[in-house]
Order: sequence, then C-alpha cells, then structure tokens
Amino acid sequence: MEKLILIVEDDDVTLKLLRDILLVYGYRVIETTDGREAIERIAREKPDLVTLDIYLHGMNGLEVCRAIKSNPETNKIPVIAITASAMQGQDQTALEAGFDEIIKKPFDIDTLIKKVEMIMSNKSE
Amino acid sequence: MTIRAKTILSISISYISMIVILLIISRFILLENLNKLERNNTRQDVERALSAYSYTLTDMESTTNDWSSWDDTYTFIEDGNDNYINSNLTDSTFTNTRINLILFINSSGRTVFGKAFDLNTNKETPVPNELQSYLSDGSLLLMSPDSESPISGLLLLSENPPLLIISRPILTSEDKGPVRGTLIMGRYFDVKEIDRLSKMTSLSLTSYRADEKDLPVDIQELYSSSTGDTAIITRQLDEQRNGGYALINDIYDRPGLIIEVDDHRDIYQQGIIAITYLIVAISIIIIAFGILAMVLADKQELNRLKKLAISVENIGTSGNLSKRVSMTGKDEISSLANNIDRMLAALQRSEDELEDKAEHLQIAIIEARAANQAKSEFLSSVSHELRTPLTAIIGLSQLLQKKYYGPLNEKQEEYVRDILESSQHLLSLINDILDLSKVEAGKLKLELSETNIKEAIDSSLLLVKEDAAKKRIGIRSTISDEVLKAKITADKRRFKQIMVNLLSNAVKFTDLNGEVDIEAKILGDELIVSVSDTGVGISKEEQGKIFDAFYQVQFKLTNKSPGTGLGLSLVKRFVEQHHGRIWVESEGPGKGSRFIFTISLRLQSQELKHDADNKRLD
Repeated sequence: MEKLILIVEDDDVTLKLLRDILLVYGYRVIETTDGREAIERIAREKPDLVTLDIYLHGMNGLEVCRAIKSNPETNKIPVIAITASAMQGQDQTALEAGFDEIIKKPFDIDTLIKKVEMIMSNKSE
Repeated sequence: MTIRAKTILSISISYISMIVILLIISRFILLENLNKLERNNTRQDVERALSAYSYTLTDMESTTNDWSSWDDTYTFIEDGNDNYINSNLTDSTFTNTRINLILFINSSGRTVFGKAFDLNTNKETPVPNELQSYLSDGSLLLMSPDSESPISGLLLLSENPPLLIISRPILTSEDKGPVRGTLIMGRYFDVKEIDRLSKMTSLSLTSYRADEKDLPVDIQELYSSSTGDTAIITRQLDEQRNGGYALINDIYDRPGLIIEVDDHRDIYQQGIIAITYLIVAISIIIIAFGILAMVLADKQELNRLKKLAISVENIGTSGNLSKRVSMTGKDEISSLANNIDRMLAALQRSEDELEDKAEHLQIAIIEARAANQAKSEFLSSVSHELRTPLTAIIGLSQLLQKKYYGPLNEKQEEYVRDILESSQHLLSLINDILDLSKVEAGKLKLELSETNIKEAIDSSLLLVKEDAAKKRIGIRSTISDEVLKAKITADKRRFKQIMVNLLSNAVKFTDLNGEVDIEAKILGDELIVSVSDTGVGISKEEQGKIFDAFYQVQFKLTNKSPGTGLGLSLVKRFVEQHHGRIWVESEGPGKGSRFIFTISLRLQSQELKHDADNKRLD
C-alpha cells in the first residue's frame, strides 16, 4: 500500500500543485483547507505524513501542529511546514511548535520530494 | 563663605588691628615715657636722700663746732676740770643733740674725756674699744697744729653700727690757736637714724654696708660702677616698685654704705590703669559701631542679597520659570533682580518653545514609527502574498518541464524555460526588497559566528560557476595564509550573499573569455576582499551611484543587463553592518572594475542579540 499524505493548504492552486506533485511521485493524497478538520482527519485516518501551511485562515498551522504533537496517538506522525514567510526567526518558532521539516515557498519539486522521502524513511525505521 | 560672614570678618580684622596698634602705641611709647619719668623721679629721690644725709652731717658739724671753738673747752682740755663736765656733759646734752659719742683728746693723743650714750635706752655706755685703733698717733681723726683740717664723714665699725663722725680741732672762741687737741662727736647711723631720714624726706630708705657679703646684685653693679662723683643708679624692681641706689664713701674714701630708695611706681600704675580704661572704652565703642554697621548692612544690603539668593535658589530647585524674584529699590541689588527676572522671562519663552517643538517631534516620531511598522507589515504581507502565486507558477512550470503529462514541442519548452527564469528573477527581486526593508527598519540583525572565509568564498563560487563556464570566464581566487589562519567572526549567510552578488555581477558584466580574480587578505584589524573583472567597467560618475537602491534598474533598462538593482545597495548595507566599507575602482568603461570591501576583525559573536530578535518576531 502506498504511503498516505494529508495536505493542509487553503490556497487552491498551491493545493493542486502539491497534490499533483505527490500523486506523480506515487503517493496517496488526502486534503483539507481547514485546520480543525485536519486535526480530526489525522486522528481518524492516521496519514503517514502531513504537509501543513503555516498561514491558514482560522486556526493557523502552528496551532494545528501543536495539537497534533500534543496528542499521543498522533504525535509520531511527521509534519512538514509549507511557508511563504521569509522572516528571520520564523524557522525557530516552527521547530519549537513541533514541525519536523520546513519547506519555503516557492519550492523546487526535486527538493520537496527529497525531503518528503527522507522523513518517511526516517520514520519507518 | 557668605558675604555676611566675609563682611563680619573684614570688619573684625580691621577693628582688632586698630586695637592692637593702640596697644602697641600705649605700651611702647606711652609706658616707656612713663618709665623714664619714674626713673628720673627715683633718681631725684636718691638725690634728696643724699641731701638729707649731707644735711645731717652739716648739722652735726655745726654742733661740734659750737663745742670745739669755745674758750671753756679750750681750758678744759688743759685742766680737765669737773665743773665743765658736770655743767656741759650731762645725759640731756646727748639726748638734745642726738649724739652717741663725745671724745676730748689732747694734743699729746690722750683722751681727756670720753663718753658714749645709748639714745634708745637713755643710758651711758662704754666707749667702743675698737675706736682706739682709729685714734692712734697720726690718725686722720686727730688734730694737731700740723694737721688741723676738720673731718666729717662715715666710719664703718665692725662691732657697732656705722658711725657718723665729726672731728674738729679745739680752738678758742675766736677760732684762735694753737690747737690744743681734738673734739670728736659721733652718731650711730642705725635703723632709728635711717627711719628719721625717711620721715624727713618722706622716702622709704634702707642702707646696706658695702662690705656685707650677701649684697643684692644691683648693689654689686653699683659698687663696680661707682667712680668719681656719687653714682646713682635706678632699677625697676617689679611692676609695683622702682629702686634707686647711691654709694656713700667713708672718711677714708672707701665704699661705706649703700642707700636704697624704694619708690612705688604710682605713675606707671596710674598709666596702666588709664591705658586699660582707654582700650576698654575704645573696644566697647568699636564693637558697638561694628554691630551698628552690621545691623545697617544687614538691613540695607545683606538681607536683600540673601533674599535674592534664596529666591533664585528656589526657582533653580523647583524649576518653575514662571516665578519672579522682584525686589524694590534703586540700587545694584534691585537692578540685578530685575535682570534676573528678565532672564527668567527669556528662559521661560525658550522653554515653552522647546516644549512645543518636543511635542511636535514626539508626534512625528510616533507617526514615523507607525508608518515604518505599517511599511514592514505591508512588505511582509506583500512578500507572502507574492510568494504564494509564484510558488504555483514555478511549481506548475516545473511539472510541465518534467513532462509528466506528456511531451512539449520546442516552442512550449522554450516558453516554460522563460517562465521559470522570469519567475526566479521575480523571486530574487522580492527577496531583495524584503531584505532591504528589513535592513532599513533595523530588523535585520547579523548572526555572527566564527566563519571560514575560504569555505564561504568557495561555496559562493559554486553558484556562479555554471554562468562563468558558459562564457568561458576564468575565476581565480587568492587567499592569504593570514586569512586561512585567522579566526574571523562574521555572518556566514550575509558574507556569502555579498560574495555571490559581487561574483555574479562580475560574471554578468564580463565578456567571453574574460577573467575574474578574488583576493582576500588581512591589513591591520580588517579583512579585505576584492573581486576584480575584465568586464565593461564603470564610469567615474556611475561609481558614486551604483550603491544607491534601485540605481541599476535604470542602468538595466538602458543596457538590457539582468539584475534587481538592489544587489549592490544590499551588499553595501551588509558590509556596513560588519563595520566595514565598500568601494569600486575602475579605469572607466571597457577597462574592467574592481570591488573592494572590508570587514572589521573586532566583531564578536552575539547569540543573545539573536535570541532577542527571535522573540520580537514571534
């Protein structure tokens, strides 16, 4: 069974881009645009990886990540931050919130895939 | 010291000096004159005592003369008749004439009659034996036809008091000779006689025998100074008394008796009392006048000055410039007060103006901060908003380029490549704008750490290697041993950004087969890095402008060379953050250019600053 990845992204085009890239590389993909729904679906469907946009409307990515990491049932699931911010200090804040990896927009497809594969292989070990 | 204290001090000093001068004048001039006067007085007293002594002798001489030049006596010395003795030489004769001794000696030296009498007890006493030695043959006291000059004077006896002695030749009542013998009369110059002299002269007299062993020192001096006439010396015995001394020689002209006059120093005492009264009176007057002067000065000037000083001090401590020190009167103090008031008014005006200006400035600062905050937030949000669509453009173009959804024809492939290139350019423009705004807002802090300069240069080179290779540009880097060995603190990321900017510019503006040289060395406490190329060069006018933001945007439009126009301006700011300088050298268009920048070696890692930066951004 192929690995399951949850994409949490409220920009339609970016969501489509991430979905297409991950599908092209053979992953199963589920998606949502809302932070609260993401937390529920992670608890229910237990994906192998989550890509999480930090700038979400409503509950933001940092809060969602903290919720995932504070739940013992989901805290082993790796979460990758997808962020458009270029501010200094943002990385540190994200790592403190529990993100396993940070990918900045705009990203290079090869880089994205490399990081996704690396995290998954680390987790499965 | 206050003016009041100074005034009191100067008045006191002048008054004390006055009193001291008065004291000196009275002490050394007045009292000295009084002393002289008194010594003269004493001298005169001694002279009076000597006169009294002489008078006593003269009196005795005349008494003796009455007896010696008398026919009865002339007869008596020959026959020694009892009748003469009984009628003339009775006890009353001695008491009336105050004579202690009478001797009748005939020309052959035999004592015809001799009688001594004690006037204190009124009894006859024996004639002192020791007198005999002065009455031997040829003695001065014995009269003879050959030597009949009368003798009167003093004779010092060893067992009896000094004797005033008169010796006269015995003659007829008509003073006719021949001399039949000698009549000697004597009176003891004893305490009683001296008391009588004292009473007569109203002086306090004492006598000392000149042959006494324990003479007072002053008498010794008198003794040694007694030459010629009767010497008189005066001595100041103490504050109360003066002593006057004179020497009386005996009949043999040897020192006999010293007469001392003890004078009370009445004049001097009165002088002292008078001077004391004078000084006390003057002091009281001076002190009274001094107090009066102070009171007047206090009332007139000092109190007003003090009041003025207190008013000024109050204004100084309270800082209330609206107060005034106003003071009545038409003297210097009130004029000073008026001037202070005028100054206060001027100060108040300028303070009000300053307050107004400060208020305006404060408002301007708040507005500027708000504007800057707004700008930062706007840029941050614009950056985010721009990145999101750019992510889609780049990502989707890459998906097309990777041909996952089918092959592209040549034109499509070229367009996709153009889209990607333009997107990359747009992205670097966005990044540069963001960096520049952060630098200008002071939000971009260096992350200083020990940096390997060679590694940083090499990794920067990797990024331009491809472009350089395309244009067959040779890149050479020379890094000095000092740089390799030194521990240099810098922001790694920014240093690389500087190098990449300079290197990509160098490659960009250098023609095919050109050359780019990198050189790094240490000079003093600076790291100096230069990037030289053999490219298009930069005119003198442009050299001053290329570090200005957006300058190259125009440059780019005219020369159609790619670039954001912000690169060098950012580089300049990064260098300045490293406490360094950057400049460009170029011989002119077509002759290549050389960018040189420095970094201070005195920078230190600042982890704390970095942490604080993070917290602010949360």
